[in-house]
Amino acid sequence: MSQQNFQVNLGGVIRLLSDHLYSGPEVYVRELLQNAVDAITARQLNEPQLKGSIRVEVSGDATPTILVEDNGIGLTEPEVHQFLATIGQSSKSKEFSRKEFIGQFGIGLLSGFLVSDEITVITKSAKPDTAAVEWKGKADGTYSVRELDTEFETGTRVYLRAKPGLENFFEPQQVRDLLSHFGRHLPHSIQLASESGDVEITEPAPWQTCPADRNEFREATLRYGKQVFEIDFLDAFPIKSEAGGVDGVAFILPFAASPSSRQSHRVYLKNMLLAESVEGLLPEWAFFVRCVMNSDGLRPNAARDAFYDDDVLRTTRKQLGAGLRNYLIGLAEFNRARLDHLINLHYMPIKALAIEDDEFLRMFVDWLPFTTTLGSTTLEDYFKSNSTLRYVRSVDQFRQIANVARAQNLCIFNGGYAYDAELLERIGFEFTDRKIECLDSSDLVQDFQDLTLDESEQIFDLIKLADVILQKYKCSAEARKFQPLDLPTLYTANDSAGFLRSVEQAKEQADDLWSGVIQNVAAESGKNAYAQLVLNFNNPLIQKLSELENRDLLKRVIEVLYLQSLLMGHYPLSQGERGILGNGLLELIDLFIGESA
Amino acid sequence: MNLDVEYQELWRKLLELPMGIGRLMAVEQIINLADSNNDLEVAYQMRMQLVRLANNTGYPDKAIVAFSWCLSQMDKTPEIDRWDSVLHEYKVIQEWIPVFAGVSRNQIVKMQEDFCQRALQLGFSERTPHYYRSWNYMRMGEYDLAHEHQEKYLSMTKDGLADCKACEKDRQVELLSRMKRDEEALEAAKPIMSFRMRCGEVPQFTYAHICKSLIRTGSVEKAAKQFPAAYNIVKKERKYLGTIGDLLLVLIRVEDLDQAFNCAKSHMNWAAETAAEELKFRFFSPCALLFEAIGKQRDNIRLALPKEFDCYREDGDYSCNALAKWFAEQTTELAARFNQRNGNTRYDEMLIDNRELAGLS
Repeated sequence: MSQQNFQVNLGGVIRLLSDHLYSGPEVYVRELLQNAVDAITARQLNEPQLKGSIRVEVSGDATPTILVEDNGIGLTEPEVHQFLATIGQSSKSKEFSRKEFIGQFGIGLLSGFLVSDEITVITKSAKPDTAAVEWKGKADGTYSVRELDTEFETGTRVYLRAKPGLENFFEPQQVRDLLSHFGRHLPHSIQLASESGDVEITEPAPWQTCPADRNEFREATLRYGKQVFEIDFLDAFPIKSEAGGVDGVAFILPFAASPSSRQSHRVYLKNMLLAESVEGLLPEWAFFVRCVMNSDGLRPNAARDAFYDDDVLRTTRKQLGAGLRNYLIGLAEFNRARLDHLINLHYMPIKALAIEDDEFLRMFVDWLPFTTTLGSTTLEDYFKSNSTLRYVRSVDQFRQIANVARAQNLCIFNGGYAYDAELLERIGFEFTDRKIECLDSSDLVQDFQDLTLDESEQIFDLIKLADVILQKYKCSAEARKFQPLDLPTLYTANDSAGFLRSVEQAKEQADDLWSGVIQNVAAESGKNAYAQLVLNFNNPLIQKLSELENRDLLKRVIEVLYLQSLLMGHYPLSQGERGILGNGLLELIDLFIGESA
Repeated sequence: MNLDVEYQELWRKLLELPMGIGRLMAVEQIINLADSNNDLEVAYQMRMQLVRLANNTGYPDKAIVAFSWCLSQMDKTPEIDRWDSVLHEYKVIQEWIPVFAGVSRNQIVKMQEDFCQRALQLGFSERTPHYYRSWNYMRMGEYDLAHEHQEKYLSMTKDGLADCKACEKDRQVELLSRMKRDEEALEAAKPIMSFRMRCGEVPQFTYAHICKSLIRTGSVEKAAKQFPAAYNIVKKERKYLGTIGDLLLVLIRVEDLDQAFNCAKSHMNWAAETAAEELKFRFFSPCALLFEAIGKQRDNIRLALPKEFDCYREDGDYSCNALAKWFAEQTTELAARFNQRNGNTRYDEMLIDNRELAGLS
């Protein structure tokens, strides 16, 4: 059996790269810079004193040309055949373990075909007694190689001539922007030569500088952040991770970020821009942070827009998260005003972190804001004058009791917002000197004033009747004294009772099969359901009702009061309840008119 | 406040919330508002949102109740949605139904037929109904019947209602593992575990099946090696509570009790809150075994258990043996309910299996 080689259609490969791998033709600049940097790095392995230099020249009007020249290691003629003419064959492949190189896939030079139909490479190897070689490759897959008689300096020159219609990628300003975009923090000088003169492209990144003092660094980094992200950040600080060889700067967003928003960062790989929005480098809770960072050790994917989610990335994420945590702890100690500002904006992710990290919880818990029936407060303020904290678990429950609790001057925390209930539970467990109690809204009734024996006697018949009438709504009745006086009744129910109401609503619509199924599904959840209509003994209407003897009228009024209480508590009424409310009101009006006439 | 403005305000708040109970409650608030205003369209759309959200975040009781309402509305007002998208939600709902011990076998079978009729009316084949029959019978411990329906759906051509390849493969692996055809289960799982088949829930569910099969075939170390990756992708979603329970068995087996304890305590609240008794069973059973194993090393342990548990103590100090006993009692009670519903003793067998998998036999 004979072994055959696959035939590769270069045009097809280029289309594949441009349509699926590269974001756009402009990446040719990145790929050429990358090859140049790697060539210099390779030469520096033998000549550590060598000062790397990359020169880019743009020329020509009608058909502009670009030259990218480096003083790297260069290639010999056999190497040219081996590396430039074989797709996927990188001169760095054999030295894959050498982490100094940026490129790995042996496809970088092909990106030249995104903007040019022909690539010319003139290269002179650093190896002794080698001649310069010229390689000309065409987009149709053909290439030629010849040895040059002329003397050349060691290094490589790549020439591209613009494809018709893509001349804009060769305009000096565009080339300058692209060089700066991808290579502004590279460790070698990049000179751009054009008709308007020579320009130095590279400049050090904040993490590459040694600032004299912390404030100066902060100010300079904030300016850098503004330039990169066009955002006036709240704060900036350095970040570092030994795993992944990460150095960079982190910025605190000056506006509240949504916890569900994706946090993405501008990331350089060995100082070459990898991508502007790389995700997954920080823990999920750090969505209020944007970073610019460089990695020397993380593995990019072939499209070069993300890193492989491997063990190194996971450890990196952990270490960067630890750095961010230390920054917050440092603020607590040295800059409380800035911390307050930060907490005010970003308390959500801080709460998320505090649930997962006990030490962090202890550090920040006193400063986090919570909503209560008496307004927003922090635990620090609350526990100055209280020893027990009481909260309800859902916004619905909070809404039910907020007005009444406020009227009695009771401070009940709303645990219904994201993380709050979980956080309060953790606090209860971690701080044994702080008593934290979870309430059902119905528990609040226990705080209302009890009736005297005489008062109980006076209202006994009314309560007994209400109990019977409300039985079909799975609700009991009770009388207490509470504020505000003008509120005759209060409906309270726990979450299970709320869920059972939605079950009843669904059963009203469902056929026999589904009605039975949801009844059985809800059986378990409904075991703890509890709903109560509390009659306010001090309310004048309730006083009158307790003296009324017309049982039919009482029945109707109790139902209307019950349904009105549901509406006050923002509970939607089922169809049946709407009917009862409508009919009840009509009957009451009828009765009123009848008496008046 | 104007109704539209109120919707928008609630919607804006909802989008700011992370996936989970907070967002679920925000959707419920919009539903309440829509119901209060008799706004059928919004009430329907938001209930469908609730179905998807509750399915994904592990609140199947809420999903089922909301779906029932939506299905009734569709029967009355078909123009409110597309039937094929409703059937896709119906598929997920069917997966949840058998995890409630209170739903009778007869109701499950009738629901299968209801789904089948609706699918056939829309021009789909019986392949997907067979797939869910297989799933439901597997959940009810009728493995031969499940296998029979699996053979049926595998012999038919896929249509637009079918589940993804990865999900189908996962179900096949689970059935093989439950039938203790472990070598076959591991072989069938290869496309999933070699990253060739994946989806939103696979390999999350698959890890538990293969870990059991690995342990039974003597590859305990291999099973233990799967744990970090497996736990990492299931630890944040309540719907994987049962899978987390299954994975705990691996840690108990290799006597990594510290990690098992930390892992178990992180999910106690979920177990307290879930209405899905099967998930509770699959989590409680390994917890009983865990505290039994810890009890051999120490008498007491400090732990913040949910107040909903009958055994809750405010000081958080528990006797390990008492905890093991409490979890075992809960598990046995749940097993009895499922066995009664299913008309077999499969859940008792699962308890024996779990004990063997945990190496405590």
